[in-house]
Amino acid sequence: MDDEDDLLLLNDTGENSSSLPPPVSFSEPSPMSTPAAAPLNNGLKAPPASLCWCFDLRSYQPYFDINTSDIKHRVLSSLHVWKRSATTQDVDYFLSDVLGDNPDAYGPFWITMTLVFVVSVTSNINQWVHSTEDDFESDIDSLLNAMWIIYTFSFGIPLISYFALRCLGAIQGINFMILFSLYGYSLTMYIPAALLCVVPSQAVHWLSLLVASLFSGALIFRNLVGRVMQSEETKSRAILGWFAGCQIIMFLCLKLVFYA
Amino acid sequence: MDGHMDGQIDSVTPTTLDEPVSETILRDLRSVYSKLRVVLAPSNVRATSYEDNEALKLLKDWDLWGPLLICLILSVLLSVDAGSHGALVFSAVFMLVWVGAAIVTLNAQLLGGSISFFQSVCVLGYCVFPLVISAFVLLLLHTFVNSIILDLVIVTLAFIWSTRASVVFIGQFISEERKTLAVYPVFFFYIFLSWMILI
Repeated sequence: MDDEDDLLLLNDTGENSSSLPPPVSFSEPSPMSTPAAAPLNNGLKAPPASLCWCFDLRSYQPYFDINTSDIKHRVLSSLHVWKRSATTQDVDYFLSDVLGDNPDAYGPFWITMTLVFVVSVTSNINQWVHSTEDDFESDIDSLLNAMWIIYTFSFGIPLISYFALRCLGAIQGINFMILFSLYGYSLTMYIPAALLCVVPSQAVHWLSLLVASLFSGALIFRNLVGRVMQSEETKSRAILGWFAGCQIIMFLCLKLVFYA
Repeated sequence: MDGHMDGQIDSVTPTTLDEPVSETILRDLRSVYSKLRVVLAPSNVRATSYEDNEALKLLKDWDLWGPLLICLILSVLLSVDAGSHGALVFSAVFMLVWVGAAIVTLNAQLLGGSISFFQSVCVLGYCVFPLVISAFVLLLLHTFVNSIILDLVIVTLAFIWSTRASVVFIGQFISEERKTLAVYPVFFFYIFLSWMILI
């Protein structure tokens, strides 16, 4: 369906694989503001056939072609996990109605960054409350820990899942950017939960992080389940188990590393 | 590292090739000083249009000496305050300023802003200066009193001071419907730095 060297950025949404747009030269100026609903694969997405495309700012621009109101809408919709798609009544409201063919990288990146900051600050306040003045550790460690743990979740897991799903052949209409966007937006609920963890009480920590994990897991599950279930039963069970496992590990990591 | 190069050496205009080194350094310091004044004076950044504003025009002539100086001073101040973690704090703050400024700028460019990379890094670097002042004040203050509320007030003031100038600067390169998206990372960059100063 697509070439070996540009399988990440190509918009392989399955159904329109035969009608890929012809590559357009890069001297063409990028559209400043495309309406949110319009698909973005208007030639900009096809990278040049060399390795240099990953250093070219323009190959990332389609994923930042988004307005404030769209981001606001997406962040709020990522909390409405119980909603169903308006057109098909399927449970994948976020993927089909909100993201559509237009995943962005802005939201996931900055949501993750915000979460890293909030987690490191609140875990530091917790440590500070529980420690005497002398044995208070520097914040840098918790900041670096938060950075690699949370970025592994929001970037590493979609990457591994994407390649695993591809190898298993169990992927229907999902490319890496959609998966990355979905995981990034699923972290939204963790931000208020981490803020709540300022309260130095174990019960509050467990409860708020559990609720956030359930929200995040529900968003990922509801949006992926329909697409994964189209493959064989054993395979789809294993895949769903993998997604659930990642969610549980993320939950325990946050709880035990930062709010112990 | 001046962003402004003529490329032509004319015998009529005085060249900088045969001047003493001290004069060159002083000239650079003077230009750093004049840019700092622009950033620090709050009345200068009220104008909404970039082209109309003489003060902000000065910043168009970017250099990286000022940000480097400011960043080094901040890193040293914070690492002195950190005690045994000094080396780690120094490198973390140094990296945070440069990588953070680069990410904020790239973000603005990706959002479609027609902004020059080094110019934006330069402005973001200069706007760190109020935070440097607050770090210095805190360092002095900690020899007398150790009150968290006072620390918080000082750093918050410095944060507002830092953010104001740079937000105006970054905001004018971005179309209206995306301004918040470009400004949020700027805001976040200074929050991060303020937090590093507080702890």
